[in-house]
Amino acid sequence: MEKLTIVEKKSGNPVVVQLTGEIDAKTAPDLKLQLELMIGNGGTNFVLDMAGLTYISSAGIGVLSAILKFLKEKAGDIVLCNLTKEVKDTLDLMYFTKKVKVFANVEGAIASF
Amino acid sequence: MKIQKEKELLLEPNLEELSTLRKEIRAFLGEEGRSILRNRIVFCLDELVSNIIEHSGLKPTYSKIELRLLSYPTFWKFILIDEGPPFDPNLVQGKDWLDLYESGAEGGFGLRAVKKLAYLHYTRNVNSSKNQITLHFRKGKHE
Repeated sequence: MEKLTIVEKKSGNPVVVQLTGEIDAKTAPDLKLQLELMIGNGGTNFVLDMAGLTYISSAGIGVLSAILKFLKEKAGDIVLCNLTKEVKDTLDLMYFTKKVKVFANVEGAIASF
Repeated sequence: MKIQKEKELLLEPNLEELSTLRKEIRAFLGEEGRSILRNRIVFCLDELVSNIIEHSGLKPTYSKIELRLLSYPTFWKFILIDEGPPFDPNLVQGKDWLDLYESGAEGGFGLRAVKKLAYLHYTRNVNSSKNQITLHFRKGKHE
């Protein structure tokens, strides 16, 4: 089974989270749980590094959308970086790239906060 | 038109099967066509199968989801069959994109996205009590 690996690469503000593998209806709940734990630990701004993410389904978009809404209500945010062209195409398809900022690399994403 | 290649998959109605499903579809598609198109095909089938697993109430021990993959010279054809209750995805009138995002909804994105990418031909076989959805994707210049 293709797994989703979620690693907190940097704590603080923003929190940098590295996502590797595939997000689907099976793995999306893991993503939600891990992001909620990081929010519970004080995280409000997040950089999601998707360099190693090879697939995202609508379940993944749903989790990110719900977390994004929650964070925005607390003056927080999510930004994305290092998207593969396939993942970007899926996010574009669901207009999610109109809801979040997308950066070419982690440094640019961190500097946006 | 002559079939160049075909494959049939039988899947347990279990979310654990999704990664295998995607792997099998990718292997079937090979390197033919652009990677974006291949990813969109994988996405559509992954979403439709996820929907069946999550909403049809099928029990893994008793039912299988059947996916037929067919490659023709100018297009791919995919036929998805399940034994769930009648469900025509074309009749679903969900929230629009703006409402989905503004409400913070976690669901409702998938079917809407699939319908942007492909026409879903739905039939219900009354005799076998099965749903069938057929999708086509063009190959070549028109991708």
